[in-house]
Amino acid sequence: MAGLTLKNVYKYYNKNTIAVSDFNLEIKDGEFLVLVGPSGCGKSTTLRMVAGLEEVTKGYIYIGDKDVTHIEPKERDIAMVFQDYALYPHMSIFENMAFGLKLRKYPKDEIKQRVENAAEILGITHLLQRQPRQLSGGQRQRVALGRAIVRKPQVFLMDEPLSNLDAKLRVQMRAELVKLQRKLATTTIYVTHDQTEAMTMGDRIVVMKDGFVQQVGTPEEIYHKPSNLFVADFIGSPSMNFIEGKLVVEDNKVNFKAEGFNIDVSNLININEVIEKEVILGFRPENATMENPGNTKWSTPVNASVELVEDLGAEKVLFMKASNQEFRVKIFDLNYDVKVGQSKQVYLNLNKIHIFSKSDGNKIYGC
Amino acid sequence: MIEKNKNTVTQVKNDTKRTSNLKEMILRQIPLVIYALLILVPLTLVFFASFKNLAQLYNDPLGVPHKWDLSNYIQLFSNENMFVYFKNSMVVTFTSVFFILLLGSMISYAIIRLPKWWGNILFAFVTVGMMIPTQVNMIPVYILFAKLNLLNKHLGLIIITVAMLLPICVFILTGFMKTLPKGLIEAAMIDGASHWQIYSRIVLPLSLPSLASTAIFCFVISWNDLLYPLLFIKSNSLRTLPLALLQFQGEYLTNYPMIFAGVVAASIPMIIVYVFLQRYFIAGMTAGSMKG
Repeated sequence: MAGLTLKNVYKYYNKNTIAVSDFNLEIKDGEFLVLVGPSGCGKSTTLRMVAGLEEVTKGYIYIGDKDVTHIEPKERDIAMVFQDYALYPHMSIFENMAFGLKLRKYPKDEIKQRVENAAEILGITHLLQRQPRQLSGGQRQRVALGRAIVRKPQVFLMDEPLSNLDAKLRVQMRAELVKLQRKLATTTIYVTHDQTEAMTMGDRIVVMKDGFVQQVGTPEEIYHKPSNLFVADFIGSPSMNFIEGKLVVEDNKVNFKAEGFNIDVSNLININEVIEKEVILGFRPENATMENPGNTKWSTPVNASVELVEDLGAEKVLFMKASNQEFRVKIFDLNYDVKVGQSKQVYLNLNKIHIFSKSDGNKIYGC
Repeated sequence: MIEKNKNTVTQVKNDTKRTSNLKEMILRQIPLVIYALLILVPLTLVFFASFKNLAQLYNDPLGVPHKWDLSNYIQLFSNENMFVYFKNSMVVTFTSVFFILLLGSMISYAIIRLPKWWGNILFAFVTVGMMIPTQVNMIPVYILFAKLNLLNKHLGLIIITVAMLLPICVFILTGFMKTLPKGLIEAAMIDGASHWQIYSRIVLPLSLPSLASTAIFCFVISWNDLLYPLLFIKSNSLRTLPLALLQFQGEYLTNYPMIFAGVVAASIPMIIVYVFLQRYFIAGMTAGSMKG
């Protein structure tokens, strides 16, 4: 097993189409790294470059100390799980799993032992003699995983392996995959567009957009300390609330002012630090409350009306409106009585708000 | 009352729908029936004629034979050379089809695996051969083969048959191979397969339907080919079946019942090949044509 390094990696399809731009990352041995982003952000292309299925236009990729930038996939000692599983339809499950080992001329006994071990780990021993078409989606997914683990490669690459499963099975497989990865301790790169998968599975997350890395960090860092508007918006469900407004210095205080909002943000910004005035304030729905907490950690109240209540069972999501500004608040007190049309006072947690630049979207103040 | 009216309206609607469906079905079936007749009637007449003698054929060309007389067939196979002609046809056709499929599938694999631009150039280069009529090449090919000392040899006949049918084979196989999921090839690459292993262990087994339909297609053309054997083969012992059947055509009198018996006998191997491979035939043809 080995770590993985990507150094100034670029991928151009032509002069105008940049798929990945200046990707730099060091992945530790045994780490579970998740690449997440919307369609077309370059996450799959990055994975395919690591696999050797796409040429690297510029830059270097190392597996351990070995430069693998321009070598064939078969010489990289990696295994990949594809979105559509890519099981060979004319081979039995055993043959599918044994194919890579056979090509590498392992002795028959060892192949048999390795396939049976992998099948046992994944609970598919009874399926070994079947054909792929006779299996359900979940079973095929396990076989695809099995094909990867029998090889005991240096690195696992997974390209949205759960996206073809139904919601319930996806949650179940998500947990199993994490457990399996912890057990095998093999360096893993996992690509997904689902931020929940990213948050729950990764040791670290790389958020990408339009070929550029937006932020690299642990799930906590990404969630609580997003470095720009895109990351703040992409991660979290429901997503962060954004209010466009201005920073105004009055009476030795810095206030954030927008229609319906007038919040003292002096705890985040010193008066002489205010450079940009046009800003966007961001706060997560769970970092606001309706009951007066009565301490300085919380903002002065914002008067808003309740537009809609979504009762999710364990929590409620309230759609609020203050003047023309719409935002959401998540409450966990199920007994809290709230009805559509009511006017409420909303307090924001000042330690959990973020202020982003309106011009480039980067975070300028906040935790 | 309203309910009753509603029912009547629904019934009338259903009746109209049924009538229009019936009309549509008849209109759709008529051309197919005509087409089937155009093929079946001559075949039946040939089959009937092979049991008649010459006089009967001239007297009643369209009728059912009075007696199911096998004498034409007996006479046909009493000529010992008939078996030699059969063998020659078998050798030439099977060898040609084998090499067409081998080379064609390799070229098609190269086309789908090369970078798109190079693949398209190779595809155009190979398939442009389909546009050149056989007759145009007759003289240059004859001169070339004479220089290469390939005239009057089965090898020459095999080479020209392979060259003639390779473009259509590549056309059908490439169309099919392009429909194979790219992920399978990539999975094999990551599993450690070389190009040869991907071709032989993944792409070829998955291309069986299109290989079968291409095989039938090429088999029929090669088996029935008269032009090239006529052009290249001189020795009696090297003749193929279609060339041999020409023997029955005289300058003043043609023994049609014998020719027809020969035609019926000659078509038996084709029928056998088709029966064995037909379950793949339709899938292969449609996949090839749709992507071509």
